Amino acid sequence: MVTNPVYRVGVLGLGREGINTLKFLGAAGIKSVGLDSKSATEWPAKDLRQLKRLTAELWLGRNYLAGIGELDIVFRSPGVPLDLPEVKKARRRGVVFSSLMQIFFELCSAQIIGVTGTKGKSTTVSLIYHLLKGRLPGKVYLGGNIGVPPLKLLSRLTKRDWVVLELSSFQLEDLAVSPAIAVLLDVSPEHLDRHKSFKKYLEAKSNLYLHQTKKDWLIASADHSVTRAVMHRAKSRALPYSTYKILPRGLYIVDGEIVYRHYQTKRRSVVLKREQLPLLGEHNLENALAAIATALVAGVKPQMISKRIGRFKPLKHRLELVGGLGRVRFVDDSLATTPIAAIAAIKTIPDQLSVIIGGVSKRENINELIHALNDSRVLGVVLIGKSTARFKRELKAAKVTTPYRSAPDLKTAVELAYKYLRGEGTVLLAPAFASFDMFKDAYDRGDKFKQIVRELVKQKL
Amino acid sequence: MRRYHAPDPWLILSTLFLVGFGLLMVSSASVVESYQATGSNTHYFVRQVVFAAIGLVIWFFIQRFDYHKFRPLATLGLGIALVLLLAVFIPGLGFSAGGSRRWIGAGDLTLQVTEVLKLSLIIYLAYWFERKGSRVRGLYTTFLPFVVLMAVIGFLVIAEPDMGTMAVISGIALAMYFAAGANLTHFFTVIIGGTLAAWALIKATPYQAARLLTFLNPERDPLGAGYHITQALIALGSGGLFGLGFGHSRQKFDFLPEASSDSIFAVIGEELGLIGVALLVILPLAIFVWRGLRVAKNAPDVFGRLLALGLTIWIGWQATINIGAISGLLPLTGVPLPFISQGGTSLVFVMIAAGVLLNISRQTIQDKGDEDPFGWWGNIWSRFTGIVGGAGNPKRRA
Repeated sequence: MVTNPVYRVGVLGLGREGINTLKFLGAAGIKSVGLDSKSATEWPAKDLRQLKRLTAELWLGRNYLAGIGELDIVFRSPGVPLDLPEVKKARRRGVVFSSLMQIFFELCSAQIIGVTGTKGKSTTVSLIYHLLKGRLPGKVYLGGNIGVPPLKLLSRLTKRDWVVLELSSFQLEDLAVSPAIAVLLDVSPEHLDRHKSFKKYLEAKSNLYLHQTKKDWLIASADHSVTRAVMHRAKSRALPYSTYKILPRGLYIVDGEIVYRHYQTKRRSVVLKREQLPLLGEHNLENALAAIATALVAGVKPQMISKRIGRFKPLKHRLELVGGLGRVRFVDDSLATTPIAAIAAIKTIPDQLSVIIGGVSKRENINELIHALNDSRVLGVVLIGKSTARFKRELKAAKVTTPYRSAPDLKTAVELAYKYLRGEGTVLLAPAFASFDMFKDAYDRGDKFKQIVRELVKQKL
Repeated sequence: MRRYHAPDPWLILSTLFLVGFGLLMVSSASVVESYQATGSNTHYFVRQVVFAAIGLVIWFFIQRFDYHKFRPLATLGLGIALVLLLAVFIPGLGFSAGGSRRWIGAGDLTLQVTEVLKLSLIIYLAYWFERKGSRVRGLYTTFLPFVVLMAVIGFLVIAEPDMGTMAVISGIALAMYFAAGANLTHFFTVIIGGTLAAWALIKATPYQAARLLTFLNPERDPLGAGYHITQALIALGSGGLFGLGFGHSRQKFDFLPEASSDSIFAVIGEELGLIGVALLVILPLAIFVWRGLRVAKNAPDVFGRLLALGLTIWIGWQATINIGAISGLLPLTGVPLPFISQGGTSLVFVMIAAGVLLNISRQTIQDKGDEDPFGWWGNIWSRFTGIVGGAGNPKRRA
């Protein structure tokens, strides 16, 4: 069937990134085969028309992988698992698997800063971008999940430019190149259902630094045993940062000052005061330190960092203050999609609070979250989503004294949470889980929350 | 997850130095006693080396054991200590020496229970005061229970009798009570009440009264009650500024009682002189106490702060009482010099205390003083060890 050599390129997974790949290949004059597990009837007519225009052939539906062995190169979207039996078989037959990231890394002439980790990638990436922008000889671009699709940048980049990329573990899975500055944030077990085990997850992340050379940089936390182990293994120059340790070289905090000890000379210099940081919470402190370390390594002067950092605006749905009603504040942390992130959010709120929690639970351990909810500051817990039953069970088992109720939708949840506070405190949306049961995604959940809060405020005023 | 950073290097150095120096001095001071008791010059010394090795191993493991885990053990520990304290009075189980019952056990394996008591009391008080929170200022919530607890312990310890240990324990408990934020009226009431009780006790028991009179006037009875202190002062005096030289003590030849345990300070003074004592005993102990108090100041929580303070005061106060007694500044009592005196229980429990303190020092909130704990000397230290600023180096490179 596939006779023309041009046809022997496949794009596996036709989501957002898949379509970007198709467009990029199309611009280079290559019409490829599109593969996706969704059958033709499941696609909206408009999308299907676009796909047909972009591809030479579409292999959709149940047997979409049947012909994968006939292709030469397959560009895989990060959402598609690498260990499907057909994919494994095709790899053994010599089919080359690549991805958009791989092409980008290979063709990019600019310096790449790659950020990965379980939590706080986006905050770190945007802070790095904020600190670098306009402070370096070349131009600085923001790519990845929150910026422009990287391939669109490719033609514009020169040697002096910088690209800041957010790399998920799925993107790193089969990457055979490493960025010039690799930033590894806290690594903790998330996405366990996809990555089978924590060890495999770590292995996936290891592509971030495995292909680095001696001239490259690895910036990682000295506070976690996993990232410490990574620093030992890397060939590149490893620069640690820490929120509570004093380091011989690297970035750390002492007496409220953020101190940098030069990588080679170990000379001490104070970069800025801790109060100057615009971000809330302990976990954001780590992100800020990682970003500052990256900026220093990239060649931004410490005075510039201390000048610019105050003007950084925190991201949407990340501990974002969305409204106030009397002495009640509403905080949206919809992107807290893991128990760990939810715990961090609860710890960040200084006064009494009520928490809206729940979603689609994965296999994560929620013992610590239950423990965090059993705090005298937490006046009430409102449960939403599919995880409600599980929460009820575990809250009961742990004999938690905090009152809790379940709500059918977000609107009643907000009202219940508001009532728990009796006029003073913070309503916190920290779902701890993914959102697919009631919302499109975590952003949608946050937007709905905002809208409800706005209506509630209007109603009560 | 507990947040560990590098331990305090001064604490490690002073602990290791004191243990090593203690072994050295025991090897000299115990020769005569050992020969007379067992027929071998080195028997006591070898036993002390074994205990030092056990102590070091325990020290190493205790410093890895998160001190917060002592919280649930606090009450149990104190209970065990009190039971042991009672067990001393059971005939066949308790041993007496020098007129007081302080040991339990059989044959060569004995346990000085007051050491267990000191450690468990410190842990218990730290836990108890932390739990009190702001109620620590209350009369019924803290003051009265505290007085009752101290009275029970005081009764048991004085019944042994062991006034020296009682002085150490009350010093530790008062310091912790004060540091926990006691009401000053209550605090001074405890001090005055305790002093009056001690005075009454001394008046009532002829043995204690004799000791006090001897302290006020050692020449009164140089061959009876004043014998010990007179011999100790002769030892210190003949040592002079520079001492007679290591191993050249004459007082250890049966003139000085307890030459290798409670009186070892006199032997050190005789052999190494005032300067030797100041540099090799008092300075390291002072460094230990200084760093211990610093650890207490920077500890991450109230439990850690009180625990570090109690342990530090234990070492510092017991050393002060021992040295003060031997040099005639305080009434003579039988407490060992921490780290140095011969005696297995004391050494092992002091090492446990040092280990717990070291663990707290790994969890402190570090300040600028921790960046360069050795100042200028730090350059030399880091040249040899690769460790800068008291922190572990995540990646060592040439």
